[in-house]
Amino acid sequence: MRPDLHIELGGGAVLRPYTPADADALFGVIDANRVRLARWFHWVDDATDAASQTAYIESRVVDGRSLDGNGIWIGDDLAGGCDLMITGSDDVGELGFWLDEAFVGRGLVTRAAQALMARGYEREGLHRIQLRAGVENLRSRAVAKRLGMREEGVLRGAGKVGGGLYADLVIYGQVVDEWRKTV
Amino acid sequence: MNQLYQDIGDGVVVRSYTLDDAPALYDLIDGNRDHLRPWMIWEKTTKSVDDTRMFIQSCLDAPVDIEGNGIWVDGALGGGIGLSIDTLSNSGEIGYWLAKLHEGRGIVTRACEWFFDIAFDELRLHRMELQAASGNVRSRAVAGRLGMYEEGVARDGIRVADGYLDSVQYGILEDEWRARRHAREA
Repeated sequence: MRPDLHIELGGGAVLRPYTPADADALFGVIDANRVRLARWFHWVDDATDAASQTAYIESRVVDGRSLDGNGIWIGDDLAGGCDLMITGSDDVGELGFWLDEAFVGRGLVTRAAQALMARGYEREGLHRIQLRAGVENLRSRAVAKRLGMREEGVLRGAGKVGGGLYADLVIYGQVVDEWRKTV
Repeated sequence: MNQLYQDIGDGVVVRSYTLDDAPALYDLIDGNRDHLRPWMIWEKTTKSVDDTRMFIQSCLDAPVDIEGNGIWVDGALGGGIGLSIDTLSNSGEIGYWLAKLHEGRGIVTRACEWFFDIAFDELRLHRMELQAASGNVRSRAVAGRLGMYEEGVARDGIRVADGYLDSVQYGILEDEWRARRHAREA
């Protein structure tokens, strides 16, 4: 996580990391979207109260390379989250995101992801950015297409989702040369 | 996890590294540089016994992953094998390398089979993964012998000394591994 991250996404939306003071807001939005999000994300099961989100926020490593633990904010309203995880030695970053149902359809995730991808390629020296989305998660897959990523395969049972179930994940990827042609 | 030790037959033992193995590990890598360089980014960054000692220490310190294990062939270190674990998706990834001298004996396949048994039986993982550079024919043949499915190609997904290589993604699920083992033992 980068405590200083602050990216204007237009239309009054801002991407910035959570602070412990955001735990109530984060839990509230997850709780209100529990059934919808549990289809795609196992971590919904772990969001049992605000304290669980305080623990999540405080577990983000401040000196890591990853641009994670970010909320998409419209004023004081939390609309969703968008992260770019950077691990390993391959110069690969991995996007992840989710959205409150009330904010679906405004392009918020696409803009947040584009902002994180630009930082990942330009400042973090990433060579490739990938995204894994549930085969049936058509909204996420549409975002991947809008981001200019290419479908590269299906990882069977690779995603743990709510209720102890597993989902097949489509893997999308983009290399830095392809990204340069899009900006 | 506790220290691993397993005789996998034909004079081959797999066990966890200890810090005492650092010189032997360095010597083996140093003797196989041309063999490793096309595929393994760490060949270049392994410059002294201090580097292999640091690697082993980081493996010993890791709370979840089981990355630091050697493959001993007829009493001498001959390669390495590691299991990294993603607790969020309940899956694991196997990685390995073998000195050129020992290729062709099925050593890596048998070492992987033993690790997959641990992964599915003891660690109760749901899925095992393997990534191999598209041009690494030997590594990809191991995936095939393990009964893994080729699921896609992450373009430029592997960094090596002189650039990036396409990464073929292999996977096998718990029930597939059990069915395969059952068929093999029948």
